[in-house]
Amino acid sequence: MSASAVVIGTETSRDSERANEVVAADPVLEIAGISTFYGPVQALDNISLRVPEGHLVALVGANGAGKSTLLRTISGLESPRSGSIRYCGEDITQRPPVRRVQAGIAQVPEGRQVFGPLSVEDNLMLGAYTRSRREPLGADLESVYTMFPILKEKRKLPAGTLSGGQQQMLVIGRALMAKPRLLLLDEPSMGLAPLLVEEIFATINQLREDGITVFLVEQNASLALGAADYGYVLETGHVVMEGHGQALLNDENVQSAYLGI
Amino acid sequence: MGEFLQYLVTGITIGSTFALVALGFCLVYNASGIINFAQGDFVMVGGMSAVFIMASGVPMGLALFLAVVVGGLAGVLLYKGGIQPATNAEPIQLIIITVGAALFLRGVAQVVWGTGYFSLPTFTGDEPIRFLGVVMVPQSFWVIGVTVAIVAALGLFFTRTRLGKAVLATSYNRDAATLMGIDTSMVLLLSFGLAGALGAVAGVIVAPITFAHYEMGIMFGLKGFVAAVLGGLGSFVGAVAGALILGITEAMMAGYISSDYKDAVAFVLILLILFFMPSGLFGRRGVERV
Amino acid sequence: MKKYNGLKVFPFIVSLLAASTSIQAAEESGEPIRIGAVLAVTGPASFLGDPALKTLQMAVERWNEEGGIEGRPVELTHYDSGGSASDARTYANRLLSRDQVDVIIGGSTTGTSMAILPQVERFQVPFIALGSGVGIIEPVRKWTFKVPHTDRMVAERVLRHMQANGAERIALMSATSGFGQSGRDEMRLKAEELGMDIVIEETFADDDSDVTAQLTRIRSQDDVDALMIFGAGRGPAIVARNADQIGLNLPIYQSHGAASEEFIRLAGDAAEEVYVASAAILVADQLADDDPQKDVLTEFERLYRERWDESASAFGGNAWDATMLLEEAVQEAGTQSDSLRDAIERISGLVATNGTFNMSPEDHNGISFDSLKILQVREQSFQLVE
Repeated sequence: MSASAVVIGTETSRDSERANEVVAADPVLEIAGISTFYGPVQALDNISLRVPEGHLVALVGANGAGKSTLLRTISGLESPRSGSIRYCGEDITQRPPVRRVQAGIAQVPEGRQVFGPLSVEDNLMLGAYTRSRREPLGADLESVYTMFPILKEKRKLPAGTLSGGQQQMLVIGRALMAKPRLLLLDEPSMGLAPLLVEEIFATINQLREDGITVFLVEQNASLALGAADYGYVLETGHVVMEGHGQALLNDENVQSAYLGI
Repeated sequence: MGEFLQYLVTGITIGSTFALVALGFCLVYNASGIINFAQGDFVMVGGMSAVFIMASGVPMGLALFLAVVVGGLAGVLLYKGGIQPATNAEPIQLIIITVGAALFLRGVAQVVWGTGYFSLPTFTGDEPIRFLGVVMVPQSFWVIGVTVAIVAALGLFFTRTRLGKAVLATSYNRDAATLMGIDTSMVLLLSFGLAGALGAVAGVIVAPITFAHYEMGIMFGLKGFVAAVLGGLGSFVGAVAGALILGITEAMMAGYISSDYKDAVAFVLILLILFFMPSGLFGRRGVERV
Repeated sequence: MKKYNGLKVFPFIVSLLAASTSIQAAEESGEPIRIGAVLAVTGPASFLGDPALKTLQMAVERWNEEGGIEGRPVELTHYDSGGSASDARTYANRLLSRDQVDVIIGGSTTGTSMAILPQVERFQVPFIALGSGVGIIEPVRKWTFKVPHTDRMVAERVLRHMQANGAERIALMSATSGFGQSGRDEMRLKAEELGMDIVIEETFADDDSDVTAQLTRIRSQDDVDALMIFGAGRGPAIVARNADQIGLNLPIYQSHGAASEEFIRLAGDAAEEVYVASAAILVADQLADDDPQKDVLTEFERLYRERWDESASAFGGNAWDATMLLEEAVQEAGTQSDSLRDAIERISGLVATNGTFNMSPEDHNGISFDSLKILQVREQSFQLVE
């Protein structure tokens, strides 16, 4: 299959402007020709994409399309067999995961991976593990608590006792404690009630407004593309479409394949 | 009454040494998910090193300290030389590597130090202390005191320090810990080193009571492992509790019933636990594992 | 009635003839004498096997330096049983079937000796055992001999000494090993014979690090006159130390399993006044000058110290006696297995480290009860008591 994905045209001038602006902005993350294997099984095939500074880019696709693998490759938990990953202009393909975190890449892993027996506050403090020991963390902790007041209420409790939605808030808050330049979000809506999903997405929008670059991976295509400046569609390890979020949402193929319309 | 107290004191003393070994099992198990069958041999490394470092003329305090360092190094070497190179191995393969390491340590000890038994002087004299009909040797206070101090220090380390919490985080979820920027291979190295040092401490404090021998680790490894499983493999509180229960039950068994059955205690306890409380006395319930 | 089967027996006779001619040829041409050894050089009984192996190595070196036995060089093939009976059996089989040895010396412990025994009886090769259990030579087996004093002699020696000193009610603390179990049985047997009472019995494992609980039970038992400890290796020293610590105020006796300097070294002050039943080797210098054993003992001690730079123990002495028995028998009869066996059985008046050996078809141990000594630790050294 050809590596080049279909680029969905822009219909309104406002969309076009915005898409052009996205393409023009300096990329925080630039992925070129990444292929990742699990043993003999190829999970990603020649993926290329870019996440520009200050924007929200979404990657949508069905279960098993390779979305999580891509995030794990970006954060260094998996090594690609070929291709390169550039972060802020630097090639980080060979860097160990710890140094990627130190450089400002924070990932919210799928499935709300809290450190169950540790307290909520300990979980949050571990998010700031790479930051200097002398740096005061109180203000950042407070701002996470302001964002998610329920976490403050339960800060002494073991994280494992929180509900699903609260755990999702906790892992987002934990990632924010690292003061990331690039936030990778893996399926934040998974397994949550619709009301909670809305709350989480409101938070994600807020983060983008605050200037954090977000790369969002989601199965829920309508929500993700609706919020995104730019979007990619992943199918069995390939990027098959890309374009402005709203434009992708309006595309017939996307609608029939991912939105059930 | 006097008899009961005597058995209790004996049980607590010997249980304390099992506790140090059991804690080593937990550290490595938590960090890496494997059972380190060389844990008992760290005890031997500590005891034998102390004997021979002292014999070379080093003052006692320094010799004991150096012996603990040697134990820690043995742990670090096991990780660097055996565990880390086998990155993608299954836990069972890693466990077999630790069995090999145990035999290796024993073999080296046999060649370097011979097969004899060696005595280490007691830290503060031999004059037994008697109260309420109970006899206690000063070394017993050392054994119990050092164990209490180490348990307290480990408790502080894991609840009060960033690094301690990082070790815990790694044990709960290694991938998520990596995403926090925790260097998990450093955490593993630290865990193996600490486990080695803990074993060596046990060896150093019991050598004056039980004598050091190149095969002394076999018994300590077995009893420490039983204690750790008893307490719920991975739980530090459980390991200490399991070790004390094991030590005290053994002493009571020898005292009240018959010394013939003393060594069956460990196995009976472990069977009972596995039947009635499969995750141990203080085991983590499955729910908390994400 | 059994029918004579010429066809089956014929090849056997042929091979026998062939074997005897080849043996004759071998002896003339200086074919080596092959000694096989299975010793517990590692493992919990290494304190027995290690000095025994060193002694055998030393003996073989000396024979070969002097031109061998009857002009034939001596070869030693050794396997380490680690104290395991099943390993001992395997290695004995290997020595007999593959290495074709002329004699086996070994079985450091009673258990390993008992494991080797059926193999040598099957292969019909002489075996000089170093284990002490009386079961090794009782009932007498055709091919099996044994060097050390039996535990039965030790039990009797100790009990008689106790009785002579007014102790009739005995506490017994024995190891759970084969050595300790056999010792416990012999103590019971002999105590009954002598009309003495074993009022309390306790056990300990070889790797026990504390036996205070067992000793506390003994202490709380009224009117016990003496304590006998039947164990080998580290255990007896731990028992002695714990007994001292809890202030157990009884005369303490140890078996020959504690008969080494190592016991004093490990038990330290707690060894003071403890009685030990032992061969004379530990007190060679205290023997009367006209004692026939004195020369053998001092010679062995000197050689051992020169060769290995450590002091000789009774356990090395056992192996030394085995080599003396072997040398005498080979000099008399060569290495053809039947004649070698018969020659060992005929040995009499051979003065060795354990005593004077007088083998017979009824007695494959050949040393008498009175060559066993009672020693007492005084000021950190063994003193001959009787």
